Amino acid sequence: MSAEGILFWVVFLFTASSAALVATTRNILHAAFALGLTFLGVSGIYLFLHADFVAAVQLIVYVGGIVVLIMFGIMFSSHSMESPGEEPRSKFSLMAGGLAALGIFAVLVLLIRALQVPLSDQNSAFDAIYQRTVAVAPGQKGLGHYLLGEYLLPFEVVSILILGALAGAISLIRKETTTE
Amino acid sequence: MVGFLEWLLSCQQALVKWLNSFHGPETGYVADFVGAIPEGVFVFLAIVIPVLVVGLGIQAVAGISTFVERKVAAKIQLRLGPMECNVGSFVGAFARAFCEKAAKPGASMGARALALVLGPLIPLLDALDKIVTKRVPGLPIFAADGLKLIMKEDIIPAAADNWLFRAAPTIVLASAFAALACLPYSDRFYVADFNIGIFYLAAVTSLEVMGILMAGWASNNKWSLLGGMRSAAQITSYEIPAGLTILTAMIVSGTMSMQGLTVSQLGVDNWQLGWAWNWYAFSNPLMTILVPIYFLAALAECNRTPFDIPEAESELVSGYHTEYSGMRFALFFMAEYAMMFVTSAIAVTIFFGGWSTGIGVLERAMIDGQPTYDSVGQVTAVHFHWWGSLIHLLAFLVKTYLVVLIMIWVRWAVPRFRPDQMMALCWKRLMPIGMVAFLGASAWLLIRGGLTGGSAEKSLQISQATGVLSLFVFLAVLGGIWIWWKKPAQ
Amino acid sequence: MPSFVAENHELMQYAAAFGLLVLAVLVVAAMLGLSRLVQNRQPNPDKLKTYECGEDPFGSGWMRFNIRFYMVALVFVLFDVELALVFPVAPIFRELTQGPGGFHTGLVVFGELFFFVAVLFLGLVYVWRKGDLGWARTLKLETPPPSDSKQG
Repeated sequence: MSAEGILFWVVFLFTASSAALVATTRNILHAAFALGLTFLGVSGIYLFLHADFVAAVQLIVYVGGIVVLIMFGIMFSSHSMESPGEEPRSKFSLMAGGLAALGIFAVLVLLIRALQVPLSDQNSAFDAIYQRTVAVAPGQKGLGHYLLGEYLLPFEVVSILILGALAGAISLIRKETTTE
Repeated sequence: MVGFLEWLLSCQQALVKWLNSFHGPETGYVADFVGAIPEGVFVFLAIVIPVLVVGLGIQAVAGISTFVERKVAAKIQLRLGPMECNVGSFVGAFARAFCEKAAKPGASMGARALALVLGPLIPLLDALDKIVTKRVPGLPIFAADGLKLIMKEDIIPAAADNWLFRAAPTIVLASAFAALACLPYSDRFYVADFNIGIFYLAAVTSLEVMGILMAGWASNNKWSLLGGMRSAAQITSYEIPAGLTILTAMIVSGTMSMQGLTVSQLGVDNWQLGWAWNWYAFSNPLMTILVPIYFLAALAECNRTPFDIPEAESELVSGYHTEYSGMRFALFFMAEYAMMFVTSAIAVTIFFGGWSTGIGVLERAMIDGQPTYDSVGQVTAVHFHWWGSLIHLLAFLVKTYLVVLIMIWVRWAVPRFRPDQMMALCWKRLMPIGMVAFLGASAWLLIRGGLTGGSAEKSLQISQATGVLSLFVFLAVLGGIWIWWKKPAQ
Repeated sequence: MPSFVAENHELMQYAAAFGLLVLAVLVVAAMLGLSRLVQNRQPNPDKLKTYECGEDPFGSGWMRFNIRFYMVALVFVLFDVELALVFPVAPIFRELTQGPGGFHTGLVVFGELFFFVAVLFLGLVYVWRKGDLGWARTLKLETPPPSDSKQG
């Protein structure tokens, strides 16, 4: 087991256990913090895919923004730290949940194996994408070339999408407030 | 760090060669052993040694910063600050008392052994005391404070959320430490030089917010929660102007890596000859405008006055770390000073030339070999002698610490902002200015591209012209501020 | 350079960052462990109470709904995404504009960038004009002091 392999397993176990914590913990704020840790782990996994830029964006946007947003929402709506009600978990819901999880896992495994099919001269689809990006320019500059070249339209549409999201979210919130 | 690994491997080779040169059987065995050390060991060492040096170094820096802060506060407030705790009175007194106790009958063997070691040290400590106390009285107070905090009782309020309460200082400290990995301490001695250097720093700072929210909530104290939320809102808001500043720096220099940013401010290849006026703060008017913007954003990210509403002592006691006592509180403190160091280091790298000394003749004297250029005629790497790298390290640390000193100075000179003033400053002033600066920098590059039309010498001429012009603009602005300052009130 | 290093250059550098994270956790554990060894433990019910400037704690640990925090975080997330999208473009801008034929390429690139930033600047102006960037002074942020309030 190479050092890279060991590191990967450490990061993977960290991510998986945080994700398990998110799903199973009773306290919703613990779940939110565990979600933050899961995103941190996912960012680590991106590094193993040579996507250091995406890893940093994951940290900036998800951990620094979305988790904070979720926490604000939870903190404002929950009253102190009252423990949540103890609802009994029925056998049926447990079985249904387990089956759904197994099904999703199977789909994911099949997907990943399909992407691993060797292409003409690359090792896998991931490799192909990485080589293409690196071929344009070393490091992450390839991303910039793609954003301004081949994927220009999505780049500009995203800005309009963000504007729409901003206007929409603000107007939704304004409807809820009365004293502003 | 990769350079460090190469150096370690070359040491291994050299050692093997030297041992083999004796042509003896014993040295042969040792040479074989040394040669057989797997590469992984050196990789491990190349990662762990810089990490330890930097991690332990930042703790020393944070500790001494507490002392510096108290002395600066004292100077501004026309008093003396910590004076009583000196090497003699602190370590020396402890050593004397220990030896006395160990000399009494009935002392344990271990105590006697330790007294044997400490005894001869006492005159040395007294001598050290004489030297240090005259110049910097009260210096050991940071160690004494640290010891005091370790010995305090660690009280976790009954109503607090146990796990989150314990996890919060870890996350804040982890983000501060992780940010140290990519700083360009020197051209040869650094922990790592990522391709996405500056972007990585922005990413790691975002991690801190989660830790602060955790601390505020887990204390189960209305005011801690309020302080934590205000701090989270403040830090996240001010990340945008900071990000815009970093973006402009990237546009001007054409690279994200910290070493690349520093090298592009060296200017050793053209007439600028490595002098300080090649730094972005002086050679690019848009960057000059961004210096105060970045400085304010950095103060806000560290929760320092004038942005210390989350810790507002007169309103919220201590904000999100009210309920933390003893060492846990000390960890938050350490994280705050580490963040100050990190943001100062970023400011120095972006605006003030990173590890370059700013003295052109010195820089040229230290160069070893030829610089490497890229396709548009910009320098990408310069190699220096090893003693040049040491000088660069010193320059970087001195410059960073100067910025930290300014941050400390500002804290004691300026009153605190109201929350609405703070938010208005960020969204309504700093962010539009940042956006305009960023667009201006790209517009200028466009114009410059049109003027040069791709020829390298025209590019050089334009660099020279704009360099001189910007320097004049900078000096004119300084002169204007001076005149405005000195104008008698009418 | 040995093959391991050549192939995993970037990853090894990130291992250093990971090492620093681990070091932070170790430092915290070591300091707290040391503190646990030498500290003075005298638990006392008064010490375990939530701190409220010496008074007995009043009400539970929550406050009235202050939407401005949420709004600020929301606007931040959106501008953060914009920033994250502009970041890959910034470093290549210089070489795109300074090369031969640079002006025309540069004009197009500048136009693309300008459009992106302008749309978001519009968003900022919209939020500004609607008053959602303000932190209204008329609404009190702090909960009223315990002595004269009935709610938490």
